[in-house]
Amino acid sequence: MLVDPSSRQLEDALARRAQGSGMVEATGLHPAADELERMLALSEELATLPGPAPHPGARVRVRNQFIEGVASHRAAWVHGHQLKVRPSRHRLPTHRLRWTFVLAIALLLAVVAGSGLALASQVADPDSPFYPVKIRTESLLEWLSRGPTARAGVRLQVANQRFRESESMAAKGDSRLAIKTLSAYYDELRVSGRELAGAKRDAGWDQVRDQFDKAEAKPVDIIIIQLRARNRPDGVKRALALQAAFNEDRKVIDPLLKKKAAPGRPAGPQPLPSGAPAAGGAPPPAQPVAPTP
Amino acid sequence: MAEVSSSPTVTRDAPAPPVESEQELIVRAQRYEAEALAELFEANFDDLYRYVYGRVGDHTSAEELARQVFVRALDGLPRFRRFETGFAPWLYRIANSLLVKQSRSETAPETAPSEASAAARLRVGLRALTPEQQEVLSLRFIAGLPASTVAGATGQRLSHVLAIQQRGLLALRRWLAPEAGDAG
Repeated sequence: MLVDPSSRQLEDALARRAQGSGMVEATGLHPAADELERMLALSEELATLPGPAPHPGARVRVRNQFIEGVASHRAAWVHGHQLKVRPSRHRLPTHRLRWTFVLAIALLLAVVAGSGLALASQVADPDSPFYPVKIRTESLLEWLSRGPTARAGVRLQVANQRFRESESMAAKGDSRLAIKTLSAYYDELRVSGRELAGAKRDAGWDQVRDQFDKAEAKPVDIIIIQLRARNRPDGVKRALALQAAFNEDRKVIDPLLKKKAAPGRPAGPQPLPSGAPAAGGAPPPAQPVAPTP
Repeated sequence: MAEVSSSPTVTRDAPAPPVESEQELIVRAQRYEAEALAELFEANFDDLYRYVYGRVGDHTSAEELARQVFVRALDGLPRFRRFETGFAPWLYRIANSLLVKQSRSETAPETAPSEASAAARLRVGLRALTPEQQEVLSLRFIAGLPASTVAGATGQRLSHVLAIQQRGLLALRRWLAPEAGDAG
């Protein structure tokens, strides 16, 4: 009766045989040697089974079919191969909250952008690209104000802005924009005066009236000096003309803006000497402007 | 038992371990790049053909089987992951799978045909073994792969592969010469 060798005995015997040992040496002297020898012989018979090299024709035929298959597989791979979209590590909790989050971020960005734009426009000069935004904002403020006193207050703020801009433009030597903004300054003062003349006298009116006095007392000579220094004679001439025209108008405006209205004084509008629409009345003595020669 | 061959070449030289270039080639082949696939074909066709010839024993069947192996390999390439054992063992395993599938539709004889040649009897005897035993014996002795490579290619432990090898050789030996087991 043959004794079966263990798998390790068989592997060791195979290894020794592969190293060139004879059959007896490879199998050793133990009860399973006979069976081991037969198994080694069988494994060597199996090793003789591989055939000769393939015929060149067979290689060409198989190769051609293989290459044909490659083309179709490549096309399918290119069309079907897509990168997997990996889920975010920090996933938002729910769909609804996700949109809320997006809207909140959008709103925040809008507020920040809007605030920045508003701030930029408020300090913008007439030669700035943000200047139209500033003008639109002023129009909106005027539209939002209720009552002639409030509107007059807004107009005075706008007039102050125009004066500051005119100073700035004159300092830069831009006589065209300096005159344009100076003209707008006087126009705003006239409109403000008209609003105040038709408004009800109360504590608010007195306050705005004081602001009017401060606004119209702005030193225009500074603008004229700047224009002269930058050799802008036309600008100087037009600034003086604007100043003179407004001084003429003040003769009509100022009496209408007395804090205690004279009894029996007509309240209706009267034409201004400059031609601008305003209320009329006896003009106070004009404050002379003494531009530097 | 037949006379034992004195040739000590039971196991052929182990194939060189897969170098990085083959891995790169396989990765390119997984994208179905024609050049890489052609290179893999040229590098493996001869060995595969000789292996399948060893299993089927005629050129017509060997050519057809080799063709089927490469067709299957094209389909399965994107799933290939056993870079450490190389491309050739993977092809051999595909061939084994196809042979097992074929042999299921045939009825293996219970004893060896006495009139057939020794090689033909061996092939028939192999088909009478379990699929696991067929695979291990074929990879080990027909393809000449080391046991460790067979273990890597089949995804089994080395001890398990050695056990299958021992049981397979015993079963084949007894199928070929049933009387030898009782000769004592």
